[in-house]
Amino acid sequence: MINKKIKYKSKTANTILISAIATFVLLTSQASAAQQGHLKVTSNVQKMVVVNKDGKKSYNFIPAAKVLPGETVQYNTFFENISNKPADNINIVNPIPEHTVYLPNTAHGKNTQIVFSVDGGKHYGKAGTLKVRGNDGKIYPAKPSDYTHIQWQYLGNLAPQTKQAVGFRVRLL
Amino acid sequence: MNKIKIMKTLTSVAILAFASNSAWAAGTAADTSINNRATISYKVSGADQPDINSSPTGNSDPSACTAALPVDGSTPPAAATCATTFEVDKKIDLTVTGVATNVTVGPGQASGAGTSITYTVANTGNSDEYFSLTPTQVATSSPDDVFDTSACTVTAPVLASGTNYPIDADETINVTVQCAIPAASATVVSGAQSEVELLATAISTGATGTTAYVDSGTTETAAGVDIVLADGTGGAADSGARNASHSDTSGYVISTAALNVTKTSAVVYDPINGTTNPKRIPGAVIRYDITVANTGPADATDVVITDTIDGAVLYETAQAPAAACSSTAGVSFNCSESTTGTVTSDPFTVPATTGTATMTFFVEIQ
Repeated sequence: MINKKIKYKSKTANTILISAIATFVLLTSQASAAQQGHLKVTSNVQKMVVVNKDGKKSYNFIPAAKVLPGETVQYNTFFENISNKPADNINIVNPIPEHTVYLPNTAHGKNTQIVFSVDGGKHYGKAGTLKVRGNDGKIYPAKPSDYTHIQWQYLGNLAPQTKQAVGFRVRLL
Repeated sequence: MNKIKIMKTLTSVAILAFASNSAWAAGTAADTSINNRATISYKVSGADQPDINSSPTGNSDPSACTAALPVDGSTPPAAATCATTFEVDKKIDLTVTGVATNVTVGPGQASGAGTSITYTVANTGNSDEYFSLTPTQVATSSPDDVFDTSACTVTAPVLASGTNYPIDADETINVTVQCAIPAASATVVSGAQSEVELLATAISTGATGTTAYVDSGTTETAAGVDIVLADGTGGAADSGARNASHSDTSGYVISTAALNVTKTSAVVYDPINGTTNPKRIPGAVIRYDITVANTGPADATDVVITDTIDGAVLYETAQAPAAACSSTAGVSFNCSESTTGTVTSDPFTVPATTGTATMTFFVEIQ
């Protein structure tokens, strides 16, 4: 399958781990218990509220402290290259959180190709190409609410000391 | 790059698992923890690097933040999972609906099964709550409310005094209220209506107590559960929207007795044939049955049956199988030929709803 190529290579994780530790020791002289990768990944969540200002509808994002069923929240993931080498083949995978549904056309990310999964992250495809089998056994085009995972495939290199962001919105069921 | 472009043609078929995302109409339960975490994979200098999971404050350690996220809505251990999390707040919402309005009752009818009016109370919030249920007679006067009932009580569900009733999120219960109907008067007449309002209130203290939920307002507790009141405005007893209460009316309409009279006849004797195949010839004895049925909600009192028997007289001798005039079904009363050619009953009462009284008498054809 083609998608194997974009999956993370967990089978080789052991050897990679060693190389990562070696790199870390070389890169930093500070004594730290934590292992250090090349990327720093930060995820936050905001609630989206409609604001009426001078009769115009706009959106505000506030910390997701008080969220009720039916409301929309936005998840943002920031990834920063904290090493001195460029990183490539970057894939970000985010499962759609439990009790929420993905809102169509809200996944975004500069310089990324965005693909979705409807089977728990086993297979990915672009929006509109995915199919699901209904309870009646027939095959239907997948709806955004069927999505289980989103994957952003970052195109090109992420230069050292640079930061990018991806995000998506869901509605709380 | 090439690898990614190939993805465009990739399609996938998955078996839909509807159970995972099934939700109540009322939405995700209050206090549920919504957890999220992104995973990044990448290469450096052509070499695969270990995946890194996101955290709210930023994580670059591949060995950190790897514990599985809980899927049961419980709060994840923050240190192990690094989940980006928020809690679902409590939405208090309810709707009271009067179901059967204008239940037919009679003047003076005592509180009981016949005076049952019903409502539904729906908990449309996202948490299981206790509700107080309070019936009140509508005070305002309108064509829908021209007389007042008394002693209105909730008879179903059965609740001990001072306790509140539990209604689960998304659950709707039926509530029965019974009231005492006032005696007949200038206003309590056939067709007059009365409204009774049921007020339901979500109680913050649970099974006992009377304190309604209060909206958290601008206070926000990121780690805890805030209260958001979402109920609409009900009837007069409901002071407004977003007060954890809702109400609606149901009511009564007065109907007096509804009498139905039937009269049947049969020949039981003639002088030639005796009681075998008798014919209606002079000297024959005819049996009449006059039945009065009351289908109304009120007792019919002082009912008197009068029947003029042209060309015949009340058969006084004991030739017939019963006394000349008697009550034979339901209510017992006396009857006689008060003046010649007219049979009259004493005043009697036909009970409400399904009561019947039958006067039976025999006449001789002249």
